[in-house]
Amino acid sequence: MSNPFSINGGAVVAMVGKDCVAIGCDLRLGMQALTVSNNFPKIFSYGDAFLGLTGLATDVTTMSEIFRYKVNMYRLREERDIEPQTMANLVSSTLYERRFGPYFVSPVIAGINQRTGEPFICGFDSIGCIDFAKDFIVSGTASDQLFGTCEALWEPDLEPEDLFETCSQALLNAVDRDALSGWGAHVYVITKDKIIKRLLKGRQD
Amino acid sequence: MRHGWNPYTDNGGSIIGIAGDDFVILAGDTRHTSGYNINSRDERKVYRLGENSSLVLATVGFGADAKDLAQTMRRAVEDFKFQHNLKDMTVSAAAQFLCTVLYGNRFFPKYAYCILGGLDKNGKARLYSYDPVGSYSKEGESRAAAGAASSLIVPFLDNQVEFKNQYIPSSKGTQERPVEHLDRDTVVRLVKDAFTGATERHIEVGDGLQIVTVSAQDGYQEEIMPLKRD
Repeated sequence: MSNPFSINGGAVVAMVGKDCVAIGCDLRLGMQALTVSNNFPKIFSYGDAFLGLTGLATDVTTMSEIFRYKVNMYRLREERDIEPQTMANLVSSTLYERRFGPYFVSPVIAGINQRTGEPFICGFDSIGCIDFAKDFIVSGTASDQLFGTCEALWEPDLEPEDLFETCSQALLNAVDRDALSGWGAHVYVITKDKIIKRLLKGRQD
Repeated sequence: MRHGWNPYTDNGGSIIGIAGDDFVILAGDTRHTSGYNINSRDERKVYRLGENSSLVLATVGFGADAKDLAQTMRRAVEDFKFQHNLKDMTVSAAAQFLCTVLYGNRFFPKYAYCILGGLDKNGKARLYSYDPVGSYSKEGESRAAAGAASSLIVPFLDNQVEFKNQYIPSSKGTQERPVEHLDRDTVVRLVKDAFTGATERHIEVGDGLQIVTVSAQDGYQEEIMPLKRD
């Protein structure tokens, strides 16, 4: 249990629907088996791109701040919001800069490309290798459980409300079987012209 | 180089058991692995305990121990019949016996996870699950999963069999959806969904799916469904 990826616990999942994407995270922050906080969201928004970060909590906070800085600089230079695909390459190269002393995080990106209208999700390992997926991405200490629930519940071309329910059920039931994740959840449903954020209570144990 | 002999191997695979009202379904994939190798694509994990028995046992873990346990149980159930004037062993008796057998090997355990299913004397479904040293619940359970992909399968079963995290839509999240007995077609569908999902994401699961149903009406039925072989 000295694995930096499983000291604090946490889970993130992202899914693609019909002209929409969903991304959800749990709210727990722990030190091994001891829960320290039940209000530690792991999804951060950078304009059109949403970034979920699981892993070592100190690195989650650090990375979210690094990307706040980098995306603000991008916006000033380009005079526009960053696209999810561009964000993916930014995350990848930022992680690979630390190839031999990595940040202990497993990032996930979800968003709609405002230029093309295409939904986009992807995941990374801790040194920046991108996993482009057409269906869903999971990360965190409940990733096994999430693979099971997502693989069984997800189907192509879900409408925003159905995608929300699918994503939420996949997340809630997965974290209930992981001792290091849970204590409520945040779920975002993103369409081209609307972002809905919902706070789920979930099991409090 | 230090070399020590290891008496156990993990042969992968997964099993599921779901109890309905008057039927019980046990299923397991038919892949047998050691490390990254596939030893067999048709090694079945679900055993019927006797020719006309309603008792079914599914085992995963170390294949040799799993098979030996199934054989021990099969012999015990047959022997019981001859010792007790051709009376069948009840499912609760078989459950307690399996516990005794497993705990009998407490200090050199049979490295196998077991799920035992059957019908009681009223024709109602019973399902028990065990750890390798015999711990089990006498009340039984409505669903169980074990083996390599159990961590993928269990949360799905929580959601779809016990309706966990589901609420009555009109109650605004105040009333949980009540648990009800599922019909047979639904359970078979759930088992197939669980295994196709597990096959997709776990390398030790695949090749074939053995589904055994024991019901009060139709007795013993067995089906083999192909799974992905990659």
